[in-house]
Amino acid sequence: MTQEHAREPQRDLRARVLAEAARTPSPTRSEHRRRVILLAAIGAVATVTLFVGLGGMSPGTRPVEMIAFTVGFGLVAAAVLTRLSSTAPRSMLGRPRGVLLTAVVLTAPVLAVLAFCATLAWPESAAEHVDASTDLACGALTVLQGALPLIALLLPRRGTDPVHPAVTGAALGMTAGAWTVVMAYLRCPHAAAMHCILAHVVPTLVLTALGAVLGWLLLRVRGVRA
Amino acid sequence: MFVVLASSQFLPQRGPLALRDRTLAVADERNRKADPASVALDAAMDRYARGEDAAFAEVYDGLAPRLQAFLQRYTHDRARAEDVVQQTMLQIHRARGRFTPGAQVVPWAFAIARRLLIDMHRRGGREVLAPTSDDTLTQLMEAVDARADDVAIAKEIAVRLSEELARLPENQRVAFELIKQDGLSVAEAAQILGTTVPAVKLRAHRAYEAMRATLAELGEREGDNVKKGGRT
Repeated sequence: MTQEHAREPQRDLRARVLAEAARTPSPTRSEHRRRVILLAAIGAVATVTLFVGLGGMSPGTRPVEMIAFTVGFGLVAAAVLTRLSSTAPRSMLGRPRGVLLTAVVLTAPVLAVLAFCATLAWPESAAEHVDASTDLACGALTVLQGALPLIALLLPRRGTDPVHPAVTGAALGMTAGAWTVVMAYLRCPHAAAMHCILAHVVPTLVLTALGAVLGWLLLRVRGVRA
Repeated sequence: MFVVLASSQFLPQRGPLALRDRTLAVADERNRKADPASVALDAAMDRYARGEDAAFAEVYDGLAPRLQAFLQRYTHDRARAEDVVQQTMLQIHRARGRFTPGAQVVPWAFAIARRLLIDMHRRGGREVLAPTSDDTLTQLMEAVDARADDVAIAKEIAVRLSEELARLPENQRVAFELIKQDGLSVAEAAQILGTTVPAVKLRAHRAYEAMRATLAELGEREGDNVKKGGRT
């Protein structure tokens, strides 16, 4: 047997693989797309339902401009992160690890700076005192609200990341966190900088860590037994 | 790889000068932009993703031999390599709906195979995940119809380069092997390793430099031997 032949798979392997593929149908692109859209819709509806169920929008004493500023910049951050973590043009392997990590690392400080900028621009609204129990309750709510979009982002990608599943999971966690920050700015009447950082921004780090763990568990490629 | 270096480059023109300015041919993406086999493979995968089941045979035929060669170099075991080829192809089958239009199937398949190989290594702990040059040495012995001392020199080069390759940091070694031994482009290797094109270029360049330094050292030693032989 020559070296070349020794390194080619056997003919019966080809027959086995093709037979197994024929025996276990897999979704085509259009079927997969329908499933992703359905899952995204369920995730969005569940998230909005939870948001409304928890009291919906609550401006408190904040001016509309302040809400528009924080929600607007939060939306931009969330949209950029969604694009970075969920799509990679003409590639099946996602964005490079460095790009995802940079996005993950920079987002929380950017959101914190945003909170500070809002308090500088509207100091009268930000001067209130918020006690620690309110911070804790609001932070827990932010994590809870972020868990739904995180699951909606992770599930369609189960078992599909052979390169860096934990990093992808972390990026998806931060993406869910950024969307949750937007909702937090809509539902939370408090505008104090420390409250915004502790109860709105720090939970994004919790969601990032959760995303990294779930990413490693759910996204990584595992062997398929025929 | 080492056969090419040793037989076609080193042996015909021994000596330090012959080695000094030699550059390792870097297989970069410019050489492969219009690789018709890859384009056909990507098109077949696209048809399979759209629902044309018969296209999977084409995808298999285009991928399996390359994957088998890649995996067998690391597992040193035909059966284990075939097991991973099978799992990789079934992963591709299972995830066909996710195949993005315009994406390349080769880096995707190699990344899946590499991940499955690493998992197999972690689970079993028996496989040695390091490439061997035994088979290339055998090829060398068959291919080089040369004097015994030429063969001995070529073997020494192959062994030294293998040792040097094994000493390299893993990220440099893997980048070098994907480009040089598996014939992937820098862009494809970057996708497989989950990093950027400049990072892979840098890793591969460092590996080339290390290999070149080894070749130069061997060349100088050979040159010294030739001088000594000339004097006596």
